[in-house]
Amino acid sequence: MTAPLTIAIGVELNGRPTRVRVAAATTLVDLLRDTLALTGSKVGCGVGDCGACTVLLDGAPVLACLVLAAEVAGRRITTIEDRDDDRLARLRAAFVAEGALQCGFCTPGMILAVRPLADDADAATIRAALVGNLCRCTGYAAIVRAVERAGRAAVKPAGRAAEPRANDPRPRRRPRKPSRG
Amino acid sequence: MADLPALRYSRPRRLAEALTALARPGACAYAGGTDLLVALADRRPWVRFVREVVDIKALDVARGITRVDGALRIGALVTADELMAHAGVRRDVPALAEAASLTAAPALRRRGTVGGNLVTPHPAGDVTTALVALGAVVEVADGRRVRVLPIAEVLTSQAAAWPRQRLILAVRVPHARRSAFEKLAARGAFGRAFVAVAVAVYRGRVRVALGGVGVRPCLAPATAVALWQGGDVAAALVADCQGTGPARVSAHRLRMAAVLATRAFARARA
Repeated sequence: MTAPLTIAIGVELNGRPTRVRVAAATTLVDLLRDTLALTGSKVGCGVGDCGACTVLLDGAPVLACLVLAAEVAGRRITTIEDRDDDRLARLRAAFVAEGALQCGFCTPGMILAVRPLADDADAATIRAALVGNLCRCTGYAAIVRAVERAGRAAVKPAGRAAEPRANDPRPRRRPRKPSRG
Repeated sequence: MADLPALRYSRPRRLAEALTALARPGACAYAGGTDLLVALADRRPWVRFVREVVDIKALDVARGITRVDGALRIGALVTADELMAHAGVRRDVPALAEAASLTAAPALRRRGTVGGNLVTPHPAGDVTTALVALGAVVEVADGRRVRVLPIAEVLTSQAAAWPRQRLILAVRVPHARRSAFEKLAARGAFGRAFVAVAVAVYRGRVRVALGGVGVRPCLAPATAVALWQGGDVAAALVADCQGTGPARVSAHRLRMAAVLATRAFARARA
């Protein structure tokens, strides 16, 4: 028996069941970007040194450049494009509100890396979660503030919106492209 | 990063299937992928033979951490993340928990495995350095039987020379509650050890392992005696580092090793 060169996999991608056929030698980040057109996850170094490709695999941050697409069959993948996740939405808004990005290349990875943290995580915990994510623009202070801000926004959402609407980058809900299913 | 070469992929669920798959020409065990995928993309010599990755992550026999009389059995698939969080590892072999916690960065620790750290040809794998000091033995599936090999025997065979029908299933680590790990690297996260020292203190003796001074992590018996008897640690390190690798160990590395060894010994004994 010979092992296959391509493999059909089904995953839950940002909450939606997705089926796709991949070459066995495809990394998860290439599957996301090249096949599924989800280009939010970036490839900085491709060798696990920069964190720009961080996505969630069953809720835990992993580097999508060092995961084979073939092995994620049956698993849950969350990328920066997930529009249904409240904490991701708060994090995106808080990064804008705090000016926690300049070029933005590292931002999706940063946000996914801190997604599993509790809303009341302190600065030390946030920094520890981000040691594997490089930003060459901002110096990290604003990034940590943004994560703290996103946490506060969850704790007291009552009354007026926690973030100014003008700064809310959440895209409007659009019909999904059927080609991705 | 360059693209990966063309690869076949299989994910056996049973050990016998995995061993059959690994016997195929060009087959290579695949677990965390944190070293293998980078090496494949870089076309490094030690993975030039690889045409098929055999994903062993579905093998239950290589999972989990259990107690076996006076030791912990740590599955080859256990990740650095699991090691550093495990209460039994932290209590019974703290040097191993410390080594795991100082490895790479969170997303890599979540993937990198104990078995992978043993077979990847790195001079200073943190987990491996700790395992050497802790006197770990390695469970290896070899054909139909499971053999228990000293860790040094596993470390001396390079990945490409590792017999393909063999698979590391677990390590067994005797308890050493008085043990510690110290590492010097360029920065806190990601830093591969410039030099690392693991120390385990037992009743009446000490075992010391060094990372970064040779081809693979190794024991430092003279240093152990010097620490135990209050002797000249620096001189002992010079003796221990003779012939550990192709190049002479630099004076700076030796000096730093002495600092780390003294520090680790003090913490382990406390």
